[in-house]
Amino acid sequence: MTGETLGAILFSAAQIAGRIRELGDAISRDYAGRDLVLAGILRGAAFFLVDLARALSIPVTIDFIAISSYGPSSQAAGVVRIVKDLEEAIAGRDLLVVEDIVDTGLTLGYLLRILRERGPASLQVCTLLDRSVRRIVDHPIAYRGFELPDTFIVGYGLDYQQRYRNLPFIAVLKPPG
Amino acid sequence: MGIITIARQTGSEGETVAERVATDLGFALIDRSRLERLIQEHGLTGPELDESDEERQEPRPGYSGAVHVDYLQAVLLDLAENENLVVVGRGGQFLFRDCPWSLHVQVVASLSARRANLQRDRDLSEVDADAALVEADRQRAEWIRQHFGAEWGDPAHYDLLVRTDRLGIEGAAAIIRKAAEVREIGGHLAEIVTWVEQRGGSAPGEGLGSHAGFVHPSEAELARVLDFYRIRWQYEPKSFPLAWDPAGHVTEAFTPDFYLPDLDLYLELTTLKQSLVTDKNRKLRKFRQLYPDRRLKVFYGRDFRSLIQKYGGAAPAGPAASRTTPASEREGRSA
Repeated sequence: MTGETLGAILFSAAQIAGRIRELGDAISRDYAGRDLVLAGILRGAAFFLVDLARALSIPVTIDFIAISSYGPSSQAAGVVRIVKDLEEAIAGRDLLVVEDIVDTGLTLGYLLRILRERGPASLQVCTLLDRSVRRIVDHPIAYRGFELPDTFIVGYGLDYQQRYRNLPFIAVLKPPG
Repeated sequence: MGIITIARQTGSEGETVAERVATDLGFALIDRSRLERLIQEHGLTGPELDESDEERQEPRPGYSGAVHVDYLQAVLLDLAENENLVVVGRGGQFLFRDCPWSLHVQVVASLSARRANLQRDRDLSEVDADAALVEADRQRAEWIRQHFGAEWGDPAHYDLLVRTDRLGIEGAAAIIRKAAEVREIGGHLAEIVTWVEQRGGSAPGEGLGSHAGFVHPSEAELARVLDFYRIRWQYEPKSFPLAWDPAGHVTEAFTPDFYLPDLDLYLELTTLKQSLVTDKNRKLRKFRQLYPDRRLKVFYGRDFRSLIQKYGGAAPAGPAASRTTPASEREGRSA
């Protein structure tokens, strides 16, 4: 009984698929002959990573990483931490971090600090959605699917209270009431 | 509560002395294995722990251990609020340098004693033991230099030096116990809690630290978010003059809410009524004209509310609270 309702579809399944094909082509070109590792940030990026990997025409290793998120239940002394680490050793390899959405850049900033210390040959970011209006910490983003206005959205990996991730499209979510 | 820091030369049996002191006084021993457990409970993995450890070898190119050292310090300060501690290594003598209820001990031994200890403990030849001693001491000194900008061996950092090959473990521990007694470091829990809270600058202060003294609850919330992501902040550290009278006195100034030193970025939260926002916008324009090199990000009431909501915090109610996002919005992750 959440009372929230789905609003307009911002990006249809076809739009998303089309844009991922373009990103896949660009990444395949840029990483040809290199040792590419895609690192998806759980849970939101799972859908995007899987589709992106299938849009690549070059060999690729996939992996996932999960970190804790800030919330009211965070302990007073709580700090961000890795909940599930990469399985792959990434030193000397070409790491592409795959995000569903980058907004404040705080999560990404933490991850990039951690991952950079492991000595990858290169470290770039690919995000399906970029909500730069909320950015606090800037990072270069090598591959970007769509720029997003400051609205709350769900679908294609993005959730509201863990729901809606499985929608094939991305839609605005209207608040209750 | 009281804190005893033990800095030790490699092979000086400082760890054993520390263990003995902790047992005798009923203090908690904070050595590598205890810290490993604590840090792993907080989710840092092996390589990251190594980065924050003084015995780690060469830092990797481009690596700055500041994040993890900050974290290590936060863990130590957190512990100090709850227990009497004997802290072995890890720059404890610098972290607790200004704490009145601390005792800083350096444990040393002659080269021949250290060599013999190391040969015994690690089953090394004489030559290998000498090389290991030199290398381990060099690494520790380098780690201290890098993170605290100080010389490990400088006697000014210590209250007491004990030499184990002359005093023995028992003798060294007894002297340290006596010194702790003379310094009256035990039984100051409340004072140490206050000391930890005030550490890191004048109130309201800097993160990661105290969250007292904010003008607006949303500022405290932002400070918590920054702390969570281990981003250092300062609250209202600097005012920028915007206007002067003919005599050169400042008649108008702008003080951004936060400064993030690692990003060289100022943050301003504007959670004001619309009528006041107009005036704020005028100030911001002036600021950008006069200080074009200063990086400033402004979060308006609604932006900031949705930002905080994203992180699951209670959104501060404001006059302009026209809601566009669900109150309890939380994404599993992503920032």
